[in-house]
Amino acid sequence: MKETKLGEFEEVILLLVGILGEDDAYSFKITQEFKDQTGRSVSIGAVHSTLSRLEEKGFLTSEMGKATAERGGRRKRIYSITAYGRRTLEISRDFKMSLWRQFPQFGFEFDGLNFSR
Amino acid sequence: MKNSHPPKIAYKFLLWFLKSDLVEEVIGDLEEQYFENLEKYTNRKANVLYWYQVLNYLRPFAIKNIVPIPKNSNGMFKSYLKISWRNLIKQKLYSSINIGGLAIGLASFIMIFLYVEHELSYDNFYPNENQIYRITQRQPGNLYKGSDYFAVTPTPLASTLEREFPEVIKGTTINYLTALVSNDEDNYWEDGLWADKNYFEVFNYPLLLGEPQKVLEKPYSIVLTASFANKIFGNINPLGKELKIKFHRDENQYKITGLIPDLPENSSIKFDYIVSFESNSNYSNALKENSWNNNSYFTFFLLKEGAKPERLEQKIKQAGIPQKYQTDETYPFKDEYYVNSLGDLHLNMDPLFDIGLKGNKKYVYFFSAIAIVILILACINYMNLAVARSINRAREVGLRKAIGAFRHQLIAQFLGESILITLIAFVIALGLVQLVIPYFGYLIERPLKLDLFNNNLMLPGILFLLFFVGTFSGSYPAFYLSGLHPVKVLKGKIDSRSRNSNLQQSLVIGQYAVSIILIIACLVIYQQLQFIQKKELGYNKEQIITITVRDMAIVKNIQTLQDKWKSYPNIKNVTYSNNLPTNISSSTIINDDDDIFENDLSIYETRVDYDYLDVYGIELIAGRNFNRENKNDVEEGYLINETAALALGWTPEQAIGKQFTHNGVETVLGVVKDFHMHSMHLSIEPLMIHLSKGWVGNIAAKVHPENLPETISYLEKSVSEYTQYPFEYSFLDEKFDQMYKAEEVLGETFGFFTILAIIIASLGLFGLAAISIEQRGKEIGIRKVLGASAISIVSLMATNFIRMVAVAFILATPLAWYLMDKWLQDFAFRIDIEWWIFILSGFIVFIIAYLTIGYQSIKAALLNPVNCLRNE
Repeated sequence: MKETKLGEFEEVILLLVGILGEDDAYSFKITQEFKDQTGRSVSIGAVHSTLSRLEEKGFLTSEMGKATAERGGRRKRIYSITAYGRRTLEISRDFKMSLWRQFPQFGFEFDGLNFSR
Repeated sequence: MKNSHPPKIAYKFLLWFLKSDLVEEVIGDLEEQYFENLEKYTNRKANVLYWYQVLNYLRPFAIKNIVPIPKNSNGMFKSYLKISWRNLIKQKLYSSINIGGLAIGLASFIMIFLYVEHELSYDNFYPNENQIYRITQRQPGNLYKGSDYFAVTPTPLASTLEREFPEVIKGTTINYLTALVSNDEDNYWEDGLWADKNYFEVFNYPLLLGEPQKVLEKPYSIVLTASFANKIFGNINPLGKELKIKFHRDENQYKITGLIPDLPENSSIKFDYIVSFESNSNYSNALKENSWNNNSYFTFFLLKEGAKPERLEQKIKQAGIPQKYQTDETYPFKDEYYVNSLGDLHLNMDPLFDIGLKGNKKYVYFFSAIAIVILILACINYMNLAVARSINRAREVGLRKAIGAFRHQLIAQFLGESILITLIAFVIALGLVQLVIPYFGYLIERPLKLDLFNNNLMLPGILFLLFFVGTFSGSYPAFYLSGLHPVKVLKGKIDSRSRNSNLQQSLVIGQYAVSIILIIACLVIYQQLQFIQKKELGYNKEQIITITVRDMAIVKNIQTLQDKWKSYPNIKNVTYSNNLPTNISSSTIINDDDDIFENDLSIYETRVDYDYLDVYGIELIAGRNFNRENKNDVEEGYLINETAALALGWTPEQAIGKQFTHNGVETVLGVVKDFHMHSMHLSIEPLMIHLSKGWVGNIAAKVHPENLPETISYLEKSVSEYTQYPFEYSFLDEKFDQMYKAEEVLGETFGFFTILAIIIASLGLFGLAAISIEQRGKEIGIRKVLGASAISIVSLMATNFIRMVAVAFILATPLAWYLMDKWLQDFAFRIDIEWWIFILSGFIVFIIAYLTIGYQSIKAALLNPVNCLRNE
């Protein structure tokens, strides 16, 4: 494992992989989901590059899915989140929560960031 | 779903660069996206989006290793580097000639590049620079110093433009001003600017203190630059403080309302403070009366983004501006207004009475050409020497080929070698530039400095230049050497002379032709400058001290001062006038017969006192000088010059007592000999001289050359009794020299680069001679054994080179003559280019070439033949 720090973009992508689950967590769908959720459009290449970096860091694993007719028999690379990736996400969330609690005005009303479904 | 597929080229491109193990998934993903886009958008847009996705895969993780690196590459690179290095070390002479020549060429190139870049960067620091325009005008028929194109405009023009043309966002009127700024007892004599309240909306740069729209709104407001404020007040906040400003008859308190950062070096308009134009009564009255009769100020304005200046120019013409506002029925000219951009102010235009520092476009072109020529000379050297030495390298090439080197590897090796040499030369060149640039900057009066990292053009430019020079100078040797046939080379059958000598010779001829042209140019410029210095001016410029007068207090007491100075032993005589005879600037119109309009004569005028002719040594050829006893002289007595007499149709003798109309009826008292009242660029025009009546621009004292410092301090002391203004004096001959500053700078810079060019060419020739002698070593040895004398060997070796210089001379002279003749056209008074200039420059080059070769030849001729013959 090279680096354990998560960038903002990386974190969102990692979460999206978790959200999309087994069937849909491949570059194209993740890119679409990213656009739907954030309103920002991004290229498939950028997402793919991040996915492969996250895989290198050990937050994700991937394998080629089954061939389907819709893509002319071409397989997709399906990503799934590892236990280590999940743990890192939780640490990141907890850290932010603890920061928010210390934040003067908003700490009180804030009822937590809950990313997991 | 439309029947379509992704753009083929993009698809192929993707396959070309994509790592093979990613191909399947990526193609699939992109296709899915593509078909989805097809449903939402047009075919065209989907294609564009596909391209976008493909290009976005150009990321390190997805690109395959396009250049397959051979396994032994490191070893080969090491070998190339080692061989290059050994060659450099072993052949110290050639290496230093190569590197030295290239370094000098590169250094000159970089310096000139810095100069050109600086000249082109003027006024580009305003955030809205490309929206700032101004008005200039042509007054057909109103010829002044050879031009009818003026930068000054009427006072109400700015507000009129704003009102009548919606594309003009804001207009501002400005003028320069030099005044005495006082804070209690401290006086500062500094350049400032008059500007109306819109100034900061047109010249939109951030203020340090104060609001842009308000600082110049009220009369008697002043805005200071940071460094000027610091000079006056130190670190104290100056807002709200008051300063006294004094110029001409005007003296008032001004309140500080704002602070701006200092102007950058590349601002063509420079000042230390801005005062509100409303405080100037000439301006505010003209504005109130909507008077269009005076062209005194500069009009700048902000044009709406996207609006076309040409269109505005047309609209101004169609609207009848300024004719529809001109109330003076007798105004003789039909003014035409032009819209010019601020960016053109420094280099691209030179109207009369313009504001701001002017560059010279011709010189920018000139120097750029020199830079390129010198760089090419240096590259030629490299090529020449490399080709000449190819015999020595040929065996290496043969061997490399024999054991399996590919041609492209050899090309890479030689190109790499020349880039290496260029790199070394570059480091030296940067050092040289660092050393020389302050002097060069001083010479051309520009604050140049070498700043590799703060200049966003510099670093990429240098890398590009490095690569370009390395490749260009290395190309011929690389392609030539790599193409040698290994068998022939190893058998020793290569004859480099037959194949290369033509190219080599023409390169040398080219180098020397350039050197000769440069020398001729230098000589012509020098001669013309000498001619100007020595030319009979019609007045005496030696031993005259001139004192600039700005304070009315001095004008009021001028008689007292004059009388007092005349009695000082070291002062011969004293006079005063509104202009110096070096540059008479005002002009007017007179008529010798009031009824005939055609007889109007445009004439320069200057106002002087009784001793003017005596102090300046201006010769009277007919009639008499002004006379103190004769009271009428003050009102209606005039002197004219020969040209004026001729223009009015009189001989000097006839002119005496003739009358003409100016303000009233005036009488000609005398005719003076023509003198050069402008620079030598202009011919002598009609001139009339009359008595001052309170118009004093300067006082001139003719002094004895002894005890000058004493005399000057005496003058200063007596002036300072009357005024707080600083004592500004200069010698008339210095003032005179200043008029030719541009030419002098050109001459000196030219001389400098000419020497560099000759050094580069000589280095090349020296190297070539050395190689040729080395290669003909055996021939020389045999000749000597057979009884050839040293002299015959020297001439044998030198003849060929001398022949090349001769050809270069024949090629260079017509071109040089043409170029210099063009340059001389700018002078109304100029030398003829004489034949001896050509002979002399040819001779200089010949001597340099002969010395260069001679040293080598003599060395060869004196060598013991045994040394070169025994090692077989």
